[in-house]
Parts: sequence; C-alpha cells; structure tokens
Amino acid sequence: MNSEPEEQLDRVRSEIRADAEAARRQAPLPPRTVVVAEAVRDTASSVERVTIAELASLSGPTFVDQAFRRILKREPDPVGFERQMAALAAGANKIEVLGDLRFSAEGRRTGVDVPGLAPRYFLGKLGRMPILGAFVRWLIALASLAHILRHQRATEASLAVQFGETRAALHAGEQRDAEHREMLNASAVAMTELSERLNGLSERIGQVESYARGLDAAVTELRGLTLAMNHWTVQLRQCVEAIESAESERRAREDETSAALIERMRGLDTDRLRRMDAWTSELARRLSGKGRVLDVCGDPKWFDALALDGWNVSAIETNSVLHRRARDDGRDVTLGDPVALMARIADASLDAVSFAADRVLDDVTVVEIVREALRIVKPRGVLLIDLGRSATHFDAALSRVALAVGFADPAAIDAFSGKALVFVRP
Amino acid sequence: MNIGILVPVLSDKDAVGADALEMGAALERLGHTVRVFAHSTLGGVGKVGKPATLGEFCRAPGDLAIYHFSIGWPDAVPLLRSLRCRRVIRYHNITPAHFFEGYSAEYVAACNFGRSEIAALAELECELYLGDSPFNVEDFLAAGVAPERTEVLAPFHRIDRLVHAHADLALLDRYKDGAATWLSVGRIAPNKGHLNLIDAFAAYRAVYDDAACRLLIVGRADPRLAKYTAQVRALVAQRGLDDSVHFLSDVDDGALKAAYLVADALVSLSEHEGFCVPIIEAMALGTPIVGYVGGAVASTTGDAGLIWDDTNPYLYAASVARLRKDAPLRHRLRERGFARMQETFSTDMLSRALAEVIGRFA
Repeated sequence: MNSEPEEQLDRVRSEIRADAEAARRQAPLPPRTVVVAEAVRDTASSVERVTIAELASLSGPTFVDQAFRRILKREPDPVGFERQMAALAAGANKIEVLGDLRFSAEGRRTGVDVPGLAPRYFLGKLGRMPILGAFVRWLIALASLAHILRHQRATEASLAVQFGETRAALHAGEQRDAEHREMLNASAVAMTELSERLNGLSERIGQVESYARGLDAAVTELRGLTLAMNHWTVQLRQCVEAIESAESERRAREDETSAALIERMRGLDTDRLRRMDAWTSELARRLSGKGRVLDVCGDPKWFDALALDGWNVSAIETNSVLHRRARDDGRDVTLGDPVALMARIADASLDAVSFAADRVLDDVTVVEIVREALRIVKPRGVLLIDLGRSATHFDAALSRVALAVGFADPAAIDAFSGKALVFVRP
Repeated sequence: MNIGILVPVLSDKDAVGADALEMGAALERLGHTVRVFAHSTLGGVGKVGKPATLGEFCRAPGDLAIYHFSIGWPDAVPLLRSLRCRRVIRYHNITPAHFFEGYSAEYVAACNFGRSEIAALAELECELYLGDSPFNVEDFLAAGVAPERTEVLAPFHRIDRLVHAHADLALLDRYKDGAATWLSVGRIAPNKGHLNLIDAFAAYRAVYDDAACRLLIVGRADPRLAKYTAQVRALVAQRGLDDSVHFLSDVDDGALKAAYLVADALVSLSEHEGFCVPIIEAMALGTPIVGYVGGAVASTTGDAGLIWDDTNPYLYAASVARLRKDAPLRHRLRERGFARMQETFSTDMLSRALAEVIGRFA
C-alpha cells in the first residue's frame, strides 16, 4: 500500500471525526438509565427454588447442563456431565438425574428446593429393587392409569392440531413452489433476452476485432517506416560526423600553417621588444595604477612585457596552436571567438584592452571588438591597437571606428618600425 | 512425527474447535500422523481419543502435543507435565474476569481460574507458545515466557464454507430494502460492548434521521448471562429502538452469510477480543468493518477497516454514514479486506505459516 491512499484514509478519518463532533452537538444522547441488577436475578448465584417442570421441559445436553447449574449452582464438570448423559442414554428418566444431583452430598449442601422431587425420586429408586420393585411399578402404573389416559387424549388433540398446521404449511409450501416456478419462467425469458443481447455484443466484438486487426497492420507498416527512417538518420549522423571531422582537421592544419607564419613574421620583427617598451610606458603614463589588462590575439612577448611591468594580464587567442603554446608557457590565455568571450566580461571591469589588428582581418569583428572594449574598460581606461609594421592603410579606418563607437583622445605611438593607436574611454 | 491435538471440549461449531480440527487436517497434509484428544465433544466431530491416552500416542521425544487453551481445565497442567514429547500451547485467550463481575459469579470464577492457568502453563516451559494474535502472545510474555518461544499464527477457520453457503433468501428479502443496516456478530456477553454499540446505533438513527435503519445482533444469548442480556434489551427499549434492533440467535451459515451481505458495515465495539473471527468473515464477504480497537481487533483488521481508539458513539455513527455515501471508500476497504483475507488469513496462507512454525521442530 503506497502512502497516497494512506493519506487519503487519514483525511477521511479526520473528516469522520469532524462529522462525529458535529453530530454530537446536533443530537446529544440522554444518559443511560438502565439498571437491571435488581430486576434480573443471576441464575447462577441466587436461585434457591427450581421446579421439575422447568427442567424437564429441556432435553439432552441442555437438560443436564441446566440441571447442574440450577441444582448444584455450578457448570457441569466433564466427568459428571458424561455420567448423567450416559444414564439418560441407558434409559434413566429425568427424575432420576435430578434426584441423583439433588440428593448427592453436594446437592444436599447446596440445598436447592425442588418441590415434589423427593417422593418421585425415591419411588423410582424403590421400583428398581428386586421383587418388591415389580410390585411397586405395578402400583405406580395402576395409580397413573387415569393420568396416562388423560395425557393420551391431550396428545391426540395436540397431534390433530399439529396435523392441521402441517397441512396448512404444506399448502403454503405448494403456493410458494408455484410462485417460484413463475419466477423461474420469468427468469428463463430474461435469460433468453440476455442471450440475444450477448449475441449482438458478440457481433460487435467481432467488428471491433476486425478493426483492431486493420490497426495492427497499419502499426506494423508504420513500424517498418520508422525503422527505415532510423537507419537513414544513423547514416546521416555518420556523414555529418565525417564532415565535422574533416573540418576539424582542416582547421587544425590551417591553425598550424597560420601559427608558423605568425611566428616567422614575429621572428623577423627585431624591433618589437623595444616597441613594446614604448607602449608599456604609454600605458603607465595614461593610467594611474597597474590594474587589469585584456590582450586579444597579441604577441606573447607583449603579454610578458605587461606582466613584467606589473599588470594583471589575461588574453584571448583564436589560433589553437598559439593558444596551446601560450598555456604551456604558463600564460592565462583562453581559446575562442574574441567577441563571444569578451561578452562574458562585466561592464567597466578592466583598465585596458589591447588587440593586434593584423590578426583580425574581418571588419565586422574589428568593430565588435572595439565596441566590447568600450563596454568593459573603466572610464579613463585605455584601448591600445597594435597595427604592426605595415599598418599604414589601417590607421585612419581604425581611428574612425574607435571614435565612432565612443572612444576619445586618439593618439598614435609611432616608434621602432611599428605603430599603435591609443584611445581613452571618456 | 506423531502430533496429538488436545482440546478440553471439542465442538465443531465454535472457533476453537474449527482451529483444532482444521489445524489437524493441515498437519496431516504436511505428512504427519495426527490424532485429536478431547475430554468431551459436542456435535459431529468424529472419533477422538481420551486425554489419558495422549502420552501413549506422543511417546517419542520427537513427537508433538498441541494444547488448545481457551478455558480453564484442571487436568491440563498435570497432563502436559507428564508428557515426554515436545509441547505447544495454542492460546486463544481467556477473557479477564472483571468483565463478568456483577453479571455472573460462575463466569468470574471460571475466568479467574483460566487466567491463573496462564502462569502455570508458562512455568511448564513448553517449546512453543503459539498465540492467535500478537495481543494473545502478550499474556504469556507477561507471565515470563521468553519471546523466542512465542509465535503468532492466526486461527484456522471454516470461512470457505460460509462463503460457499447459499445465502438465506428469506433473510435477504427481508432486509435488502436499502435501509441502513448495521451488523454485530458474536455471543451476547459483557466484553462484547453491546451497550456502546446500541448507543452508537441510537446516535446514528437520531443524527441521520433514519427511522428505517436497523441493527442486526447475531449471536447466542447465554442463560448464565441473563442479567447482561436483560440490560442490553432494556437499553434498546430506553433508546426507543425496539423495532430497529433485531436479535438473531442460532443462525446457520446461510443466514449468517445473508446478514453479512445485507449489512452496510460490521460494527464491533467489543472491548476484549483474542482474534475476532467475524472480522475476517466480513473481509471474505466484502462487508466493510468499523470497530473499536479492543484486544486484537486492530491487528486482525489491519488497514482494511475504520478502527477507532475511542468508544464515542458518534464516531461509529459517522463512520457508517460515511461508508453509505462514499462509494470509493467502501470499495477501497472491501478491496483491502479481500486482499488481506487472501494474503494473510486464507487457509492456504495459514497452512504455509503452520508449516514454517512446525518446521522448527523438524
């Protein structure tokens, strides 16, 4: 049994309790006034007088049981009970049983009054004596003759009455029998109707079964189609996975080629470290303390220069090969789309953002990065754009973009064969 | 093994006799040689042995004697003490004497004697004390019997016979009129709580303004408890219920079945029950049960009835009223009753439980 039905039953019990309380207030019962202790006598403890007729009207075990209870005032013990039952079975009359109990030692002590018992009991005993007994039995029979005849007439009258009652009962039984027969006929008619309805029902069931068989065929066909579609879906998924795998390999090769090119170019740029010293000086000049800087796709040396100068630097890298090497060198660099990663940074939480414009070729991405940079740098924070060594054609366009999204105070750091643009958030 | 079943007075009409005879049949099905011994018998119980010959039948130490203890019997303790075999006391409970005080000195004496035999039987240190219910076992635990020597096994019964009997059509016709019908089954005795039952029924009739309702009290009136019977009838008269309370005594299986079938609920306010067979009769026949927690009533009913720990008459009136109007509740209790009967009290389940109990003597 789960808990829900139990809760329901508890609720029912609470409602019944409430109903009972309301009922008690609605119709309070008057107190019981029944006192019968005096009105009814305890037959086991207080009866002192018993009549023979009272007991003789009983028979068999009931007679013996009551004889014990009324004369000895106790229930029969098993041995005594069986002895008296055996005496009755052997032909003893009830007077003898009553007398045996009443005139036993226990019966005399109990002293229950049984009027008329003594003479009848002792005459009975006398009748069992040899020779004299036979004479006594004759005398008793003679004396009882008138009583026996009267009893016989009463019996005849009683039998006549009983015969009449039996005949009336028989007649009533016949009538009931006839009624029952009518009921049986009516039942037979009802059974016939029921049978017809069952036949109709059986026909309907046949139709339903036929429809169910049709449904079953449709379900089987649908199952076949579903299996075919599943097969097709699995093949499609395998194709997509193959394409994705090829794309992944292509991207990895592209990243390797790109990383090799970038590193080669950086290796050829011998002035870049001195250029970066100028940039760190510019940052220090424009910002009061050494706070947090985000670098997007910048040179690892630029990352190290900032860190060495005391800035808390983190970086974003789009090339998986360069990212892996940066991580291997212990730099805090995250791989991914710069715009998406910058979108996760809280407003006005950084002191400066730098990014290498020669690594971001898509105009739209450049604009988005600049816009995100404006959002995440603090007021008076700095945006530094590394234009590299051959960036003269970017210069004007990037300045217009930065100013258009909201940066101000444009400045250019043109030193050691390269150029960087610096802007400040108003 | 030889198993002797000992009963002081064996009757085929009472619960103890049914348990003893059906238990004997179940043990025979398990392959044991079983013989019943009784001091005296009532009804057609077949051939039984004299108690004095029990020791001869169960003479091997591996044999088993099972004494069905439900009344005081002076011969029991000496006889059990004289046996060499293992002994089991099958306890059906003895009503405490205080229930009969003021009603029958004879009952008081008999119950006191019976209760005193609990201690004497406990001192025999029999191998097992097997109660009809957890409530019964408590008497022997209180007398010092070790818990590991006690077990609970519900009584065997003849409810299948009742279920398959033809219901008395006259009684069905008489009472199947839709009027609220309360049913009480059990002899008319002071521990059975008839006075509280009549008050509860009177409350129902008054509160729910149901003049057609009736209470069927099925049970034999004992002449030795005439004072109590008169008290019950007097209360019926005082509450103005003479036409509504019907006393049915000496009913046969057909009439008893019909009474269960027409009843809205079996209502028991009995204050002391060692097991209460009418509860499982009601379960078997789908009659919802409303009862007072007295004795083993709660453990026998389980979750298949509305059992209260309070004799407040309005609780019972409200319970029957609720059952009459709440069909889902009625059906739920019936289903639980059927299930409990099948899973716990069916002859098959009892036979299995008996096999487990007897298995410890294998």
